[in-house]
Amino acid sequence: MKVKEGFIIRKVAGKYVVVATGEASKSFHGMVKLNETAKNIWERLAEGKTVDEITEDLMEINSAETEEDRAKISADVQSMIGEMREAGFLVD
Amino acid sequence: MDVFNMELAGLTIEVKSRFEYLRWFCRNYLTDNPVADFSVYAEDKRLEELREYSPEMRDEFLERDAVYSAIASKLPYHDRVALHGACISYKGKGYLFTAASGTGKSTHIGLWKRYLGEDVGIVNGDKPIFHIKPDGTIRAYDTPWCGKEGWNRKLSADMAGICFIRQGEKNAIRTVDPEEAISLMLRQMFHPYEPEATGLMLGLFDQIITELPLYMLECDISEEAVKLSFEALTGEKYKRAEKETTYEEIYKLWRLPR
Repeated sequence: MKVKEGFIIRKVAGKYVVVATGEASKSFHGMVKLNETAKNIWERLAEGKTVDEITEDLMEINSAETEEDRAKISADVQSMIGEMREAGFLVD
Repeated sequence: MDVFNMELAGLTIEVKSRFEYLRWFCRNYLTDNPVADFSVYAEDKRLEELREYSPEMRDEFLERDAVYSAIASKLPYHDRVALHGACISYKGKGYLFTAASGTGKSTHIGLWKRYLGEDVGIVNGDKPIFHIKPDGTIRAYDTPWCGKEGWNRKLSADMAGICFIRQGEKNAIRTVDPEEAISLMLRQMFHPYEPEATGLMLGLFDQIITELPLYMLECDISEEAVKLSFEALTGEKYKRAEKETTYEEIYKLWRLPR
């Protein structure tokens, strides 16, 4: 699972903005605004990391330690992946 | 194959074209400067894309639009961006009115010209270019691609504000913060083909919306609407020019609805 090629992410006016270029822009014309957490997930998916690896990274970023935190972060990651899959941003 | 150099937004651009029409279209921009910053031509792939979109359009016009896209795609490498909007100057300062097509940008700047007279110049009615300079100033430039009104003057100005327009039943103006401007304006920016240029465009877009004052004007077609946008943008008290531009004069330059 990976983010399709051609998406560009940049910080604009304090927000993370994603736009499509090249082939990706043919199926996606708009833009997506992401908060810090969503941007962290997106970037790691673009690198091809797994849900577990991303969860681990976010645990570290947020200095989270408990199993409860892990369950919550993992759920956030999976829900974001679900939304991205629905929007057609991912390839398997 | 025709080859010529044109001067656009302070750059020298080499254009290779199939049709002589393009040289005529760019006639006010030709230059003898032999050293070009970059070179463009209408790629077959782009022409086909445009043809799909406008099957009725003549080949000369398709080439004209494909060359615009080719130039606009290169501009971010030179700290410039192409965008969609009506750009005017008032006493030498630049103001951009932007909105989706058909919202009344041209009508609104036509009213500025009508009521404020010769202090108002039109930089470009449809597709200006912005140069974001190292010192942070943003200069707006005219281009030959100027929309259905066909206004084609050489005029540039340092930008002093952007006004988004929405049609409304009442006239009202308010400030817009940069975050809101992302959704309002990003779709009016030209998106280059190459990912690298798109990244640069987003950086320049960030500078534009964080450095210029931004407003949202909800308006109908009236002098009241001009007063609101004029006072917010220029900070001056609105006063109708002693010599208004007549509708006939504007109409001659600009095929506005009567």
